[in-house]
Amino acid sequence: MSDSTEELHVDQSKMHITDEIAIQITDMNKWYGEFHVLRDINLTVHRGERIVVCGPSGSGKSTLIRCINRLEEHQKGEIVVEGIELNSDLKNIDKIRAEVGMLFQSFNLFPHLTVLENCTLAPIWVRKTPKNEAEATAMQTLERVKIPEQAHKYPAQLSGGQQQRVAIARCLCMNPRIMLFDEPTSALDPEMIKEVLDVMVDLAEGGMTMLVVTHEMGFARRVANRVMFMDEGQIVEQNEPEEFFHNPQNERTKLFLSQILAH
Amino acid sequence: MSSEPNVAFVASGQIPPSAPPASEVGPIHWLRANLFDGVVNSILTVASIVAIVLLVPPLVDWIFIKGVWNAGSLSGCREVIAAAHGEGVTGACWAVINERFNQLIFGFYPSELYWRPILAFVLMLAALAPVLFSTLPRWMLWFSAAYPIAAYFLIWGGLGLEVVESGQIGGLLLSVIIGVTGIVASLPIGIVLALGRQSSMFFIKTICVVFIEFIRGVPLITLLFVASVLLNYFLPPGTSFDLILRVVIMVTLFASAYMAEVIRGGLAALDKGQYEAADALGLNYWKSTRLIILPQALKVSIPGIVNTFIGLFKDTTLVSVIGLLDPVGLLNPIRATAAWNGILWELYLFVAVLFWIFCFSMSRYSMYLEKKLKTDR
Amino acid sequence: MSVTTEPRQASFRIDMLWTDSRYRSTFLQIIALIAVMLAAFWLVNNVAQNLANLGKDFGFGFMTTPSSYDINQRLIDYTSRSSHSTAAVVGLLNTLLVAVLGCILATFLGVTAGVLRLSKNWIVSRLMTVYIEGVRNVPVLIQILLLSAILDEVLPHPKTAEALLGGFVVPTNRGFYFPIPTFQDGSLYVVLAFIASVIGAIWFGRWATRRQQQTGEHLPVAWIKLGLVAGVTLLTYLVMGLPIGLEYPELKGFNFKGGIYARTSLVALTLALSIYTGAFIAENVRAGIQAVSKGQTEAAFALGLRPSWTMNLIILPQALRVIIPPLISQYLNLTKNSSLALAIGYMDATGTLGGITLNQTGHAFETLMLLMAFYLSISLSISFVMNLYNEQVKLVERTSVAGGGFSVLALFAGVNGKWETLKKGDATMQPNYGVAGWLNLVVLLYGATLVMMLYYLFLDQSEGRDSYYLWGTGKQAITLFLTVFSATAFVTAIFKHYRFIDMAAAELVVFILAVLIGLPFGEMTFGLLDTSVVVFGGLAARLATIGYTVFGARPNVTYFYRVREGSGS
Repeated sequence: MSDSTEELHVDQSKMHITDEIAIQITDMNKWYGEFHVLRDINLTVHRGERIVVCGPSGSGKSTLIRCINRLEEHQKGEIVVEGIELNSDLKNIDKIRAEVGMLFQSFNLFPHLTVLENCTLAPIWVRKTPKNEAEATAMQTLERVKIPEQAHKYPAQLSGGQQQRVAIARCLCMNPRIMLFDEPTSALDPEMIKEVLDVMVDLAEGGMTMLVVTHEMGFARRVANRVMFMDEGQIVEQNEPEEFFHNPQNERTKLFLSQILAH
Repeated sequence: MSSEPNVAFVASGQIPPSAPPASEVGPIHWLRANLFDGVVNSILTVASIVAIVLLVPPLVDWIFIKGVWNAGSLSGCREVIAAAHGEGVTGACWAVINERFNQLIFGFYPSELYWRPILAFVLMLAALAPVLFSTLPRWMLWFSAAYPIAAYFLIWGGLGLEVVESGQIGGLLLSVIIGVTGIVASLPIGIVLALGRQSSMFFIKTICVVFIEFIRGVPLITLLFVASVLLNYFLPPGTSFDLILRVVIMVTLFASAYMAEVIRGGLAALDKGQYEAADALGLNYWKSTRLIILPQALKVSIPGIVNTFIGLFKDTTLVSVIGLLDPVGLLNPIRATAAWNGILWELYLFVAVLFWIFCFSMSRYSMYLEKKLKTDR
Repeated sequence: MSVTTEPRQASFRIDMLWTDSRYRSTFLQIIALIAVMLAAFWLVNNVAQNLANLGKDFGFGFMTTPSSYDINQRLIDYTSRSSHSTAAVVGLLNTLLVAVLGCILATFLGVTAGVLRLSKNWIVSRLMTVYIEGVRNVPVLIQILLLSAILDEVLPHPKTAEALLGGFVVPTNRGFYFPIPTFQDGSLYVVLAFIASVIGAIWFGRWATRRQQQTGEHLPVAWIKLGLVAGVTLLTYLVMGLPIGLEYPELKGFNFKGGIYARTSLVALTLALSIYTGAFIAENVRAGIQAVSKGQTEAAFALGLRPSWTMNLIILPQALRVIIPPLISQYLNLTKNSSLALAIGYMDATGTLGGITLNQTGHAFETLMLLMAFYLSISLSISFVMNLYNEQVKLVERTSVAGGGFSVLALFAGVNGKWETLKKGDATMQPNYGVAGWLNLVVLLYGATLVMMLYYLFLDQSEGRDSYYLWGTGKQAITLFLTVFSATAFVTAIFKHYRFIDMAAAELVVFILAVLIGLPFGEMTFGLLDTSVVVFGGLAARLATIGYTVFGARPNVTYFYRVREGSGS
């Protein structure tokens, strides 16, 4: 894979996993029309875990994490996030969405708002934070992702990497307990991938629970505590990175890894 | 894009300009390349020049050289022309415009009160400013919100101002009243209809689709007939609205269907990711619509909204068919007076040019906005 | 799908109506429904009270009373003793006449102006800009009034009128007179010769294409075709002794007699509408041609195609897809604008129904309802055609079927498609031609049934048949049900996916009942078919459709082949 992850500075000692359960998925199934996208998914995520989900395109990995904050509706089974069950109750959905941040492949910043306004919008309107307070928090967060000087620019004026860091800051301003990453570096030029991964490492070191769909295997090796391989809507194999990469059990995993690590 | 150019191969200076071969420059080359490039093109060029020569000089002569601006009647005009250019010569009689100008602009509005519609017009520009330019202070929006009430009392009177009857309001003033009220009032209705049409709720979607397609499927004139003969039937017995108000209601409904389609286009132009990002942040439907979706969709729709306004403004001339005295409705009464009986071209041309100036400048503005939007994105 | 266990849900509480996504949309829709019904009730109630207060009644009986007004431009027989409904029909036809003439002329003007505006010729393109920008920004009503006034002022009285264009048109201030073709013995052969030569030309075109494919040789196909058609037709015309002639209008007394007569108002309206709409069409044409990117032209040139071939093979097919949808909506605008005929006294639908009939009878509700229904049906038909076109283009783009152009026939292609491909799973992946083609036929069947029944029930007034209103209640109810079910099945089949089969099944029951009660189906088909043929044919078709779709497969195909978009992750 790309070299951008080779120089990631990761301090494993700062990351620790607790026994508390952040996400519990039981026998979850999803269909698009007659297309069975997710089959019998069972997954328990503890607080502080960093899980990397990989798999070929169309394997349902994006759909899985999009189900966790109800961007997609599951038809069967149970999803419990932070003790709240995800069902058709809109209040529960709102609560879960406020606790779960999400990063998109195409950033999805709001182009008509400045960087600062992007970051303060949800705290002000969802959390009902006073504007001054929200702006102060937003500035701190922007410093954390190392772009405080861009606060008053519009997203279109920033580079891709900067935009994705703003998107991370936008999530962090809501002070989420869990963050979902849907291929956060796929739309970026190679030289910008590292700046985004650096921020993600920083989050991991801060103890954030993370579910990351990505092809950055270097990131998976160094940061993840668990790597999960999905194919045809099922979780085929999951293990610690060391075991997963050096001693895969399943044939499909071996094939996938040989293809993706060949370059 | 990256802004640090540390590249090795950079031009050290510009190549000096040099003259192209003589056959590639100069008026002769331009003529050859643009006008006489092939047989068909040459024929077209010659035909166009002949048409221009045949049409333009007589028109200029009739309009400007032989045109008369001061006379009391059509026969007066003819006398002036005969005296200046000899018997049998024809020229434009602009005296009718000169004499009836105020009427064409204000209808039968009392002339000592002309300041009121003029003030209302100036205030309208002031009220539009904070809507169009976001750099102006936000408190000015309160003025914009209060403007319709102020304009109503300025034009119709009341609150200590002398009352003016609806029947006295006419001319361009009436066109502007109907056009502007129609477009402003149709904006919120259009937004609601467009959102409804996008809704996943079958029944709400159906209501919106049926309304929009019904209004867009019938000519405006049938809706104006409804305004003039039917609308009062729909009101509780004993109530009745003024004709101008009824026309404004129907024109608003008419415009809102077209507005809805324009805004729907703006909504469709939005990236699906914007909806998802708003959802993921925990914004509910109304908040994400108000804060994320509509600001962007409306911005994209502005050229379309201006175009709808141009169409509506042109369509206000249809009110003359149901007896309102807009500029077109005033033409026949003027032509029927003894002094101006027989006048034809001058009146039509004047009204046409009047509308042309408004519509053309607005269409240029909308084109400019469209270009600006393209570069913004 | 086979869901066995839903996600676990709490038991129902009242606040779940607006906090639970399962109930909320239904709840909101019921509220909206109630609000709409209340509003409708309020309006209808007001209308009823107002009508009662004025002592007016609601009904269409007045349409059969004599109109007692004249219409001086008409396509069918009409006198002032004819009924209001005949007057309305005259008006409708006049609207359609203006619309058709206007659309043809506007297309011609618009395409010419649009292409010329892009011309490299500086003067010509500027002139076209002046035309387009000048005309577009002036209200069409002013243009109609001005043109009509000009024609009235400028044109001579019939006494002093002169024929123009070699007698082809006599413009007077009373109207325009055109010669009318007359057919004598032997003209049939000329027409036949013309048709034969056209078929020959088409055949020759195909032969030339085949030849080109085999030998690579290009023939001057267009010239040969033209020569073939013109030569053969002219030859027959001469041999048969000039059987087709023209009858020219002649001045008799104060007016012209003979020939085709068009009032000045008709000419003025047509011209003004087409000049106005032409300017808009010109802009669409220009935008369409410009939309085909410059890269396409350059790619074609790079392949060595000549400029004329580039236009025909590369630019036009792509530009047409962009141009045609706005072109069709311009036709719709022209048709709606033709209602301004009222302002210059041309008796179109608005002038008859919404004008004199309304004023004379005072039945404003009924006349305006009819008028709006007329315009609505025109607009909806035009949008329907446009949707067909768009679906066709989408289909072509998706399945990359060669050819590319639009043809109604293509919608029926594949009726003989392979039946074994019509399995459930396939349909989500590929358009299913067999089912779609079969559905097209069924939709046609329902459409035809509907037209015939409506005609038979309410319009047919031939001798010796009882009016619908005199029938027994049972027969009345059955036929009414049958009509309603056919209509619903027709509409659902067109617009609402595959659900129409449910309607069709219900309709089948009523159909059988109607057969048992002895409904005269033969009369309904304009007497074209025997009752037994209709009954058994109809039964077979309905049973086949229902059985096939119930037992065979229920693929996700609609009338327009629209395949449900399955999206992966």
